[in-house]
Amino acid sequence: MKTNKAVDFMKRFILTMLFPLVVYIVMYILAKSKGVTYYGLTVDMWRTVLVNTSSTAVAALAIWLQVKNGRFDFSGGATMVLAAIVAGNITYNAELGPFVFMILCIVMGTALSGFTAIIYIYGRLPIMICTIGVALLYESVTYLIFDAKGLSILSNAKITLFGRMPYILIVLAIAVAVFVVYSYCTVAGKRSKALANNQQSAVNIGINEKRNVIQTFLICGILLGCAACIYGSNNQVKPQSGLSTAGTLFQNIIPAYMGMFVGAASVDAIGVVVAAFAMEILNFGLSCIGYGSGGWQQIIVGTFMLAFYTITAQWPRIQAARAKKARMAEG
Amino acid sequence: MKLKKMVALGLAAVMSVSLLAGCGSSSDSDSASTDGTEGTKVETKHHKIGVGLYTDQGQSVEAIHAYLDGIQDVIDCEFQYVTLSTYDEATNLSLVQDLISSGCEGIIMTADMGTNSILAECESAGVYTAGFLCDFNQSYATAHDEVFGNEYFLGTVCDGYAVPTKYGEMVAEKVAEAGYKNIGVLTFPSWAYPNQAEVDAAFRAKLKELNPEANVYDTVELQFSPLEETYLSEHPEMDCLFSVAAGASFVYPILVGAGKTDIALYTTGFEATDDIENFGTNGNGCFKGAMCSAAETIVYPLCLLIDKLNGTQYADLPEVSERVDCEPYIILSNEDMDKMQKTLTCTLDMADAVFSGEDVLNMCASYNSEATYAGLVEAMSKTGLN
Amino acid sequence: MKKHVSMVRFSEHISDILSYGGLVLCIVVFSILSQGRLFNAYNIKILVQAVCVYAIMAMGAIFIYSMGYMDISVGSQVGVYCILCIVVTNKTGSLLAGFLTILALSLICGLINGYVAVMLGLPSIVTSIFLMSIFGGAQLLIMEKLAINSISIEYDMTFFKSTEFMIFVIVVIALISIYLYNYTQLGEYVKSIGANELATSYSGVKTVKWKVLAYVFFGICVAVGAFMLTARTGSAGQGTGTGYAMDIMVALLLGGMPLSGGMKSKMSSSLIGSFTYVILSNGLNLAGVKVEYSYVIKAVVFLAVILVTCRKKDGVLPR
Repeated sequence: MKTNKAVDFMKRFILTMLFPLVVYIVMYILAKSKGVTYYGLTVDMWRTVLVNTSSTAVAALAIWLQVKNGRFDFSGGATMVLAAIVAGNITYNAELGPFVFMILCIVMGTALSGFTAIIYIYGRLPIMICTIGVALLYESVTYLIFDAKGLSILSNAKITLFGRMPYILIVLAIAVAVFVVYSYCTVAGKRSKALANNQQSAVNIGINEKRNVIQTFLICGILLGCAACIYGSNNQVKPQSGLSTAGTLFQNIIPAYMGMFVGAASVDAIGVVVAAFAMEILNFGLSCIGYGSGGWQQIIVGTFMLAFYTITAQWPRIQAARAKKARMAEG
Repeated sequence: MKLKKMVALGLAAVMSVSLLAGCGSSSDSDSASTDGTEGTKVETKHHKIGVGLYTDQGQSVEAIHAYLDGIQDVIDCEFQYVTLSTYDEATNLSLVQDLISSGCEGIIMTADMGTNSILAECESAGVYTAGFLCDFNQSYATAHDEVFGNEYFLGTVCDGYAVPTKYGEMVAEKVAEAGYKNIGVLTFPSWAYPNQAEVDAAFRAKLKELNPEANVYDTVELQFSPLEETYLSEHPEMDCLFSVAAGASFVYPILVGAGKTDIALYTTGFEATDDIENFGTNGNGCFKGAMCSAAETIVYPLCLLIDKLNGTQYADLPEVSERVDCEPYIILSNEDMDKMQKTLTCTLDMADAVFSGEDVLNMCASYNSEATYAGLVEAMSKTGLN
Repeated sequence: MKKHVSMVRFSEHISDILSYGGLVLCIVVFSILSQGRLFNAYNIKILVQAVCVYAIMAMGAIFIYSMGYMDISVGSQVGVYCILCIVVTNKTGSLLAGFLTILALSLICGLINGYVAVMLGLPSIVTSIFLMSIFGGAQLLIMEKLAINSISIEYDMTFFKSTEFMIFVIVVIALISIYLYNYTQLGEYVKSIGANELATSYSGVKTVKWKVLAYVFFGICVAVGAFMLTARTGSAGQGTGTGYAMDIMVALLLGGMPLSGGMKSKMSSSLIGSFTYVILSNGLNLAGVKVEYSYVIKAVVFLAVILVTCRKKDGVLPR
């Protein structure tokens, strides 16, 4: 039995890591053929890739937690931006440290996310509509606080500790742990799965939907808080308007959806992280060979994503994923 | 139904309260700024002028608001602001139409996007426009007659020099003086900002003359997105970076992320945040150069508009509208930064303004018969640090 | 009994009435705050001009949103169409050639969005993200190739940018879409796909065909909208069209359109929504509200309108 388990684990591990490995090899060949010397094993490259992976993965986990529970949360980006601005400015003005910054981010993220949940529950609005409204509200607040200056703490080496390697991995680990523990080890997580699968019958068998929604939103708030901590540490955060925050968060949506397939051999949270890792290897490679931004980059990434989906969608063995996907199309 | 009614009523109440809040705060700033009304009294005519800014945030916007709030009572103008788009023509046209509809007689624009259609609209509505903080390069190059030849476009004052080679040379002098050896240059795509390519060329030429040994890498164009970290991997020995593209937002964060704040960063733009704290010998010392234009340069379009609306004009006003230079704040040393921090752009205090409300009146032909266009243009050369 | 029936009928119409309510409320509040300027002839003209593009595209979008799908590629599609329309017109001297080019392209996009997505078994949002990347990239590349920040049309667009022509186009598109939506199978089936796609296909409806048709009609509307946008400003650039996908979505919501689609979708949402959306920003500007407060007010109004129009009475929480 034991050996079986080990073999099984190895199989799963290899299957999961296959995707980034393939991307890495392809990009390696491309980069070397273009004469790029620093693609491969340089410290700079892996630092960049890991920092970007962490920030993408944490944001993608926050998106994925809502999506897998059948909700599409437009306010996530606004929550993240507002939490970063409030927590960062408080920390900076009071000359506090990085731990306080992270905790404040998480507290703010949770509070804002909880507020969104309350509006959703008591407003009884369709989730997308509700979160668009809340996102507009949170965005507008960014103009009213701290003299509309946003947040600019990235020069502050002390506060932004968790935005850099290796500490950023701690934030990633917290996010993954929160996600996995909630989804797989708590009753609330299991209930939310039931709700996602069949909302009406889940309610009929006695699940308190409202309570579950609040729980899920609070957990999502923790993830968004982690994302805010990384985002605020590495970016100049400016006041936002016109749902631009939705774009800020949803630029991380591709790994979130990919994670579902990549993680088919393990856990979806791991899949999201690995997918983010692969995407960042791809991005770094593209920028090495001169397609890191601009028109071609958009086209390449878009085509890559479509190809990925097309292949995985045709994969007959991943039946379970198919069922999920069909549900996505409905939602 | 009762509930719905209540919701509707509540909604109306919320809206009117928040609108009143908006009005309230603006009248506060009115009363605060009345102190400056002293000295010689001239009969002024009231005008409403629309101001379309290219962004809704940041130090320059704050400075423009502070300045216009400070002079509005003296010059008897009321200002209404909208935020123009730097990429969508239709948005700008709609916003200008809104301004016209709300009774603005003149409009000051800081973006050259959809200018032809905007001018056609202004012409049919009899509303005058003028520009500032913007060289209207697109229009200047491709539609000069339609825009600068249009009676309803009164001219513009650039964000700095119209031909910006001088700035490139000034930076080159500093870079040569400091003895940097490996220098990178960043611009926005030259098809969108041809001026930046000129700055780049002037910088290279001057640097080559002053320090032939300095190694300047090929220019990289930022596609309206932050610098890629691979650029830093590609040039590990780089010790100086000249970003003609907005460096404080697009380059500096990347340097911090890569732990390379030891690279000297010269950039256009000024945000009064990291670029003050880390300038020269302060903070991490990454910023060595910054540049921006004074909010007070808005006086140029303002005077032209006021005169036009009053039906007077300078005796020496040129036939075709012009785009003129202003002397920008070019900050290349600690002393420059000290001076910079005493300007209205930094302090937002009317007491630090280059031109007071009375000065503005004196520059208008309709309020001072001796005022000349040459005088107005000359005033624009007084807006720098020296 | 009779009273009961009338009550049911009344409650059926409540959401209709309320979606007008948002518009009426905006009109009333802003006409007071703008001291009547909202209604002067000039302002009505500019409202129509501003509404035109949104309304045309929103009417097409109704068919997509009725199925519970969304298309976030509209913005970059519009950008490319505007640029291409100008380029082709300038090259050939024929405005018709320009328009036909973008119409053909938009039909191809409709096919990709509808047919390819179904054939490959992809969620519609994926093809939509794909098209957004392709068109966004293409837009940048074309402008780079043209080596200019903004390209102007050399054709005389005076006729096409007149308010009368705009009203004419809005009315024509409105008549066609109302006919298609309320009196043909297309409208019926897109709604039932939105309500329950599986059930619809089990009942013998060829959902793929109707999906493609819906996307094709949307494509036509986007092409017409892009044309009107080009006519209005006479120029286009690397950022033209940015934000239209979100704007249209928000406009539809303000008009009371449920994003999940289904039987409650209605064509009037597009027109009411577009007008509400435009009046909201026009009114705030007329009232001279400061920019930073205008965002808060927009958000509060939006929340208020959706709380009134989209609120579900009972049952499970709406998704």
